[in-house]
Amino acid sequence: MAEFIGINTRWPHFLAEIPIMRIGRILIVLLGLVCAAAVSYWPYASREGPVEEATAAPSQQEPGPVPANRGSDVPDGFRGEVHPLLNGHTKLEVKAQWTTISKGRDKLDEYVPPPVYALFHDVKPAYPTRIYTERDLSVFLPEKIESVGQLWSLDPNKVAAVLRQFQPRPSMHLEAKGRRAGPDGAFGILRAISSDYLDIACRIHTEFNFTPKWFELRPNSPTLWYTPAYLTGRLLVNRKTGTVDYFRLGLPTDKSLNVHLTVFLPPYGEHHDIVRVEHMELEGGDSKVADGTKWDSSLEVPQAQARLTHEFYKFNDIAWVPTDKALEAAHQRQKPIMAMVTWGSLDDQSC
Amino acid sequence: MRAGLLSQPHVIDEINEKFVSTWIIIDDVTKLAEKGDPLAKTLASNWEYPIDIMFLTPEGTLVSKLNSFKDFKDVHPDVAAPPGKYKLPDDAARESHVNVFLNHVNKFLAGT
Repeated sequence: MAEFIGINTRWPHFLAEIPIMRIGRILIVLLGLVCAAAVSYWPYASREGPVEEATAAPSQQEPGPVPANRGSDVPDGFRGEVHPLLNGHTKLEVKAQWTTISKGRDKLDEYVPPPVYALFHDVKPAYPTRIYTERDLSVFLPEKIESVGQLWSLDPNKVAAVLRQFQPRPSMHLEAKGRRAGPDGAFGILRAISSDYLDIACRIHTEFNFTPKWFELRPNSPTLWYTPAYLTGRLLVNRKTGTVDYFRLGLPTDKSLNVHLTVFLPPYGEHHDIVRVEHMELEGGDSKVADGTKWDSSLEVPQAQARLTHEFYKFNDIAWVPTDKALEAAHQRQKPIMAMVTWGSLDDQSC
Repeated sequence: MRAGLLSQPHVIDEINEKFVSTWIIIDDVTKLAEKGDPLAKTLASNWEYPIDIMFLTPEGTLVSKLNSFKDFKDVHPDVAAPPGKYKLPDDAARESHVNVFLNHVNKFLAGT
């Protein structure tokens, strides 16, 4: 993380794009202080919000941990430098795509200063492309290959290193104030196996601190967090060549809302919104490389995803059925219906 | 709620034994209702912010519901903005979420 302290080209794009940056670090810091001051005091002058929010005391409380549901039989994944299976030379060009946020239902844009909201809105990946080797991608493998359905926990620090292609400040511990997001964690599962390929899936809970460093130089400046619902990954390992032939890690878009935004804006407290992002993904290689592979053993993708989700959420022991199937199921079983209707998703971090 | 009430093993057992269960985001149930799904129509038209647990007959008739703000009053301080905003007064009567839920379920089942 130390590499990101101070002004340099690895900063989030919103800083990298400030035209005056070329003048020098000192001027930038001074400008930053002025901007931070303006941003902090902007709401006093212009915001018309609920009284209760305008008078709310700032939170000094960090959210407590939410227990995960990791099974006692789920071991740590690979923790070494290079996994023995990756004995070939992987050189995978991974492209990043990250599109803007939709307008949120909670209208965060009306409650925070435009320059602050722009930090969420004008998002771009820190590194549009990056080359990943067997050393970088070993983190997604288990210690030993056993059988389809085996689960393992990923090394959070090494996962975070990959996430820095999106943005320099990913956290594997959720810190956004004023909410109880899903538990920390990152898990992998062996989805399919053949003599030629391993198909690995993973699910990662992470959060990005969007606060510019120059905000942090001044007390009572806003703090910003961008929390994806989760990131879902796929890795195709070529067992013959000992290489990773395909890698993808991205935000799911199956639900209407998939990102939570938090702004801690002293002295008002927290502001939140849930938004939709169409694309937030890293992808490299050929996803079709294993098409036609006759898997010796496999799980369907939804089945693998459900097992990964269960490592985070005990409540998924409830036998949920899709809403459009519930009435038919109730009629067949002659059981009443319990239906939860929610503002945001139950089984991810967006709500 | 997901980390508390709905993660309690005996609550999970009760739900699985007695109900067909479903959950859905309000935006998605609204879209489903617009397509004509009868259950979705009932759910969308009766929903209140932020979370409703609705109890319906096998035919899809709404009988009763629990609202997370109105009925589960003793909320975890971290879920409010700012924390503790919805904290009950120290002398207020408290009932665990599990009790609120199970009592409601028992009344619902007794009446159906």
